[in-house]
Amino acid sequence: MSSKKTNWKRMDETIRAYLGLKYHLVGVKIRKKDIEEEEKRLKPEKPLAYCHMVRIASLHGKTFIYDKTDEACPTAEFILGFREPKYSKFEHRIEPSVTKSILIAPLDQMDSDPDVIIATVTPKQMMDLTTILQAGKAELLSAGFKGEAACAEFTAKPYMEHEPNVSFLCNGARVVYSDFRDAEILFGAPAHTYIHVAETMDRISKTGGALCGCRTSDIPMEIINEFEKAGFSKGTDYFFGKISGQNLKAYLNKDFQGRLKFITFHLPVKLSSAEEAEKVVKTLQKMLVRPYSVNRRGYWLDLTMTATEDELAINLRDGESIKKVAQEFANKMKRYLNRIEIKA
Amino acid sequence: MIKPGDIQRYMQMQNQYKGHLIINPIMAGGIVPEEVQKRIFREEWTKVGYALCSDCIEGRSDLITKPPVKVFLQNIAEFFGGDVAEHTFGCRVAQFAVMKAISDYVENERPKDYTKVVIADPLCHYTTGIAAEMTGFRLTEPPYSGYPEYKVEAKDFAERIEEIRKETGKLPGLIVVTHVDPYYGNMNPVEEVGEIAKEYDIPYMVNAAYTAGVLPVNMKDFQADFLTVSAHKSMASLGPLGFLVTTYEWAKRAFRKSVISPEWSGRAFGKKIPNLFGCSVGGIPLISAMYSFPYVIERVKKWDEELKKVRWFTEEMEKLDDLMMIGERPHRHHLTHFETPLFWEISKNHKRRGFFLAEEMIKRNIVGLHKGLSKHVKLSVYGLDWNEVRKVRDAFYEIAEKYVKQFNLEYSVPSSLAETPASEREEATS
Repeated sequence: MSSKKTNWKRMDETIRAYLGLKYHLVGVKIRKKDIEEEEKRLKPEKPLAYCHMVRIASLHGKTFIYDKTDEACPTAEFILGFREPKYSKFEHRIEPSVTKSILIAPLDQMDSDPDVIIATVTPKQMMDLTTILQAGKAELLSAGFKGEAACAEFTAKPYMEHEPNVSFLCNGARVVYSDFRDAEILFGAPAHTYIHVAETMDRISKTGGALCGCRTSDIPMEIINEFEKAGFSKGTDYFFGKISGQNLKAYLNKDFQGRLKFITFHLPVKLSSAEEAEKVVKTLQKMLVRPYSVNRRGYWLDLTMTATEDELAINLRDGESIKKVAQEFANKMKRYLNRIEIKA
Repeated sequence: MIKPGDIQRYMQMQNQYKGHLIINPIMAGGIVPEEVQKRIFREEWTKVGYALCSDCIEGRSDLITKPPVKVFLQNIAEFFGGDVAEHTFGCRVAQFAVMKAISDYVENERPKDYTKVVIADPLCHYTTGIAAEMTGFRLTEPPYSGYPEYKVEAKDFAERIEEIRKETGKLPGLIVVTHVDPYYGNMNPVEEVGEIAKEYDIPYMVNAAYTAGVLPVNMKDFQADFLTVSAHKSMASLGPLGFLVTTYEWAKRAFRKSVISPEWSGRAFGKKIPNLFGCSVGGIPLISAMYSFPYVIERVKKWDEELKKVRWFTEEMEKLDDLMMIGERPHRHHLTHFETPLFWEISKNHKRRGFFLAEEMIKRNIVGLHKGLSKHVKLSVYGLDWNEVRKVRDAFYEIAEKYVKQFNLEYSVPSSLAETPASEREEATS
C-alpha cells in the first residue's frame, strides 16, 4: 500500500465521518492515454453515462476506467473532452479535447492522484462543508450551475478552473441515466480543496472546545482575543494575567438570563491567617466604595471592582482599553494595600 | 484491513502506570482495595464476562441470589437512605433511567401539570446534559456566583421554577442537583433545593457520583426522589457500574417492566427493565463492588480525616507563588481545582509546553493530572496516606523549583517544606 493511497483513504474517512456522508467520495482522473490491456476489466459491461458511473462508484464502491465507446451520454462526450464540439457551445468543458480515457474510483481505492473529487451530499452536508471551506474568509463561496449538463458543473469546471463547484444536477443525472435522488447534490473540487477541507476537519476535531471535550464558557472569541492582547490568558470562564506586577483576574458576570452584564476585576491577596484576613477586610471595607469591594475567603482577601462596561468606560473589544482599566485597578488596589501596609 | 502490527501491539500492551500514585479526582474514590483485587483473581471471577450469571434463575442480574446480588442491592438502598436500588451500566445510565421515567410520567400521566424541562445546577456533569438530550428534555440552569467560588444558591432554583411556570403554565418535570460538582468540588445546597422541590412537588434527583461511597450520603436528608451513584468513581469498584436508588413510589416507574411483544412470534420480555436496557451488569464490576462494600461502609466513617488531608494539601499548594484553589472555602470535598499561573508560565518556556507538568509528575510515579493542562489542575489526594500526600506536594514543589530556576522566572518557591500536622506525624513516619 503506497503512502499516497493511505492518505486518500484517510481523507475519505475524515470527510465522510465529519459530514456523516452516506456515500464514498469519488476520485476522477482525466487521462490522455488509452486503456491498457490489464485495465480493460474495469470497463463498464455496457455503455453508461459518466454521471451514472460516478453514482455507482459512490454507492457501491466500484471502479471504472472507460473511453468514449463506453459513454452513453452524448453531451458528456463533449464536456469531458472526448470529442471536440463543432456546432454546440459549452461554457465549461475540458479543453483541449484530448481525453482518451477516464478513471472513476472510490477515493479510498485511488492509486493515483485524482484530478477532481466528487462528493454526493445533502443540502445540510453542503452547508457544513461550506463552513469548513470558507472558515476565516469574508467572501462567499461562488458556484456556477444551470441545471443542464451537470458533468460540466461538478467535473469540467473544477478541472479547468482548479476551484470547487456545486451542481444541482441535470435531468440526465436525475431521471434519464443515473437516478440521483431529489435530496442529493454534487460537490466537485480539485484534490487540493479536499486536502484543505480534511486538514481543517482534523484540526477542529482535535482542538474543538476544551482539551477534555467540553466547552467551559461561551465568551465570544473576539473578546477572548482582546483580553489576550491586554496580557491576560483565558482560564475556564475567566482571564488571568500579571498586570502592573499584580496577579489579576477578570470575570464576565452574567445576569440571570445569561447575558454578559458586568465585568469584575479581581485581585486575590493571600494573608497569613483567616484571622488576619478578617481584620484587614474590616479596615478595607471602610475605605472602599462601589464599584470596589473586599471580601474574605479563608485566608484570602478578594479585592474586586465590578461594574458595567459603560460604568468602567471599558471596551471589551479593545485590548488597549482592557489593559488600561486593569492597570488602573491594579495600581489603585496597590495603593490601598500600601496604606494599610499589606504586600500584594 | 487489520495490520499484523496492530495485533502485535495489542498483545504487548502494558499498564504504564503500575505502582503509581493516582491523583485523578475521577479515579481516587474508585481505587479498588488490594485485598479485593486479589480476591477477584483468587476466586477466578475474571474467567468469563458473565461471572455472576451461572445461577441466574429469573433472567435478570439484580434478582440473582447466589451470589447475593438481590440482598446487596437492598443493602445499597438502605446504605443511601432509599427504598429500592438497581445497579446500572454507570451513573450515566442511572441518570438516563430517571429522565426516561420522568419523561414518560410528564407525557403520559401529568401532561397538564409538568413540562419537559429539567432544571439542573450549572456545574452538573456533562452526562446530566446528555441524559436530558436523550430523553427530549430542555435543560436550564440557575446561575453560579462565578469566579472564584462558583457557588450555587438554592433560591435561584425557585426563581427558575417560577420563570418556567410563567413561560409554560406548568412546572418543570425534574430538578437535578449534583451533590458535589465535578469542576470545583463544591458541595451544592442539596437539602435546601430538596425543600424547594417538595414545596413545588417537583421530582428531585441528586447526582452523588462524586460523594456516595466517599462521605456519608443519605437521600432522605436531601428529600430526594432519586439518588444516582457511580461505583467506579466513589465506591472502590471496577467500572462501569452505577446505582440508581429511589423510593417505592418512583421505583415502579423507573424500573417498569417491559411490555413489548413482537407481532410475529408473540414473544415477551416481561421481566426485563427497559430503562436499564433489560438486564444490567453481570460480571466483574458488580462483584468488585460487593467485595468492596464493607470497606466502603467503614471508610465513609473516616471522611473527616480525609478532609483534613485535603485542606492541609491545599494550604501547602497555596504556598507556591500565585497558586490558588478555586471553589468554595472551607472546601468540603476531595476534588480540588487549582489555578496555576506559575506552571502556565513554565509551559510557555518548556519544549513540551503544557504537557510538561503531567509528564514531570509521572516521572515521579504520580499519575492523574490531565495531560496538556498547565493553567489549571484538578486533583485529589483522597485515599492517600500522609506520606503519600506529602510526596504529591513535594513533587509540585520540586517541579516548580527546577523550572523557575531553569527559566529564570520571577516566582518564588518556598524552600522549607512543612511537616504534616503534628497529630498525623506519627502515621507519616510509621
